[in-house]
Amino acid sequence: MSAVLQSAPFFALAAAAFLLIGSLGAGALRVFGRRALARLAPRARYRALFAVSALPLGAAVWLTAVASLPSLTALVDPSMDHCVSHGGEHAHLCFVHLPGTAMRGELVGLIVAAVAYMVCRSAGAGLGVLRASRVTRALVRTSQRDESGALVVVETARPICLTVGLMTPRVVVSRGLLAGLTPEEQAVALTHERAHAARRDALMRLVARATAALHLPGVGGWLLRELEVAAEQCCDEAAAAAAGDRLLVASTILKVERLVRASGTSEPAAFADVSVALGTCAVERRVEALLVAPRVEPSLRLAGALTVAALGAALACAEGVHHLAESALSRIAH
Amino acid sequence: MSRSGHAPLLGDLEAAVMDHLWTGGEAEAKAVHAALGEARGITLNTIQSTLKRLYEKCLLDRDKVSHAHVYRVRMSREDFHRGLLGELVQEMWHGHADAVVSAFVDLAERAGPEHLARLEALVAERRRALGQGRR
Repeated sequence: MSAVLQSAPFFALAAAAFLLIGSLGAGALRVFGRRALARLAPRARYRALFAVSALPLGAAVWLTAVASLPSLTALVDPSMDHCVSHGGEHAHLCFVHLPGTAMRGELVGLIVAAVAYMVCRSAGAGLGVLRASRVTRALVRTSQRDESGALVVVETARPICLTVGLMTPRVVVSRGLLAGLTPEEQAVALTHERAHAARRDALMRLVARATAALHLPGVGGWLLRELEVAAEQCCDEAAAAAAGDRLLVASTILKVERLVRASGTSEPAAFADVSVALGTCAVERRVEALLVAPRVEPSLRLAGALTVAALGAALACAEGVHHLAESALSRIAH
Repeated sequence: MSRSGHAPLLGDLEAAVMDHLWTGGEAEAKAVHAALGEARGITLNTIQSTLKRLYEKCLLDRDKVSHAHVYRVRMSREDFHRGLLGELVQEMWHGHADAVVSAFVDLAERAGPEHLARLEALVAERRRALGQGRR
């Protein structure tokens, strides 16, 4: 077996352990940082939530890279090879030396099963997204467009106002929606959707959905939900700034909600109002946020500086992280 | 709906052909080719294949008149869009469409009537307080 194949399970196990550390960090932020997040203005909250959603993957990639650094330096300069300092029974996170002892078979099986599960789950989700993309493309292709090509009008009485598409987002509205709203309200709805298109929210959500799968149970769903509310509130703020009237945006949201409700939606009745009963309805939160003055966007310099400092600190401790990872792996893997 | 039970999905040329037939009514392949094919630099055979595919997707009906098929739409544009939107809402319920769609109000979540009434009252009260007096 090649050195790469023999070493790969150790690197995979180390990455999984670092991913778990990142997941636990995100879980702790959910418990202890929820109130602080709720106090942030929508744009800052969205960025913070997106960073938290990327935390497990970021921790796995960065800490695995940091833990691999001593081995990489040994590749460049053999005199810096530190593996001779510990015995052959030690688990190696190393590109130079083969592991002295192979990993336990059941653990290798567990890693393979976990990777296979992730691949199958990603493939299933990918097929669903592909199907949804094809539906939206068929909708756009068979609808009328305005001169810019960015606004698509669907011939249906059902009130619909959407932004569809990952790389080239388009705003889709129905005749039913346009007929049910005043020109001022139409402008609010379209400005809101154009803000989604400008922010490329669909693409960002796809990335967030992929990273959310790496979180502890409950945390990923919470993150996606909060990201969605924050994105909607960002676009509400854009519409409010354009209209110069926050209450107009709030009343338009409620009017569209009434129209959709009156049109008879096709979702299973058993699910209706569940989220309202829990008091977490996005409409409720959006409208209540529009009834008060907009929050001031905080400077993100401090958060950026802290992130860079944390990354730098991990890099500075590369030798320690490497030894710690190898010691932990030795206990788990053999 | 197609035989699979899903709303039929269309490629670029299929959509253009459907758009032509929705707008202009029934037509033979030659007429569709004259309207769409020549500008796109595609052959009559390609148009004939596209019409046949749309017929197989249950989107078109056809009658043989003399030696040629005359094609006409089986469902209106509105019915076609209704099917696609229904499917989109179902995909959103399953969480698949969330990644490619943002809705002005969530299609898969409805606010309860009592919550809507409370929020509307709050907005009206705030309007009164601000003295804006919108209708």
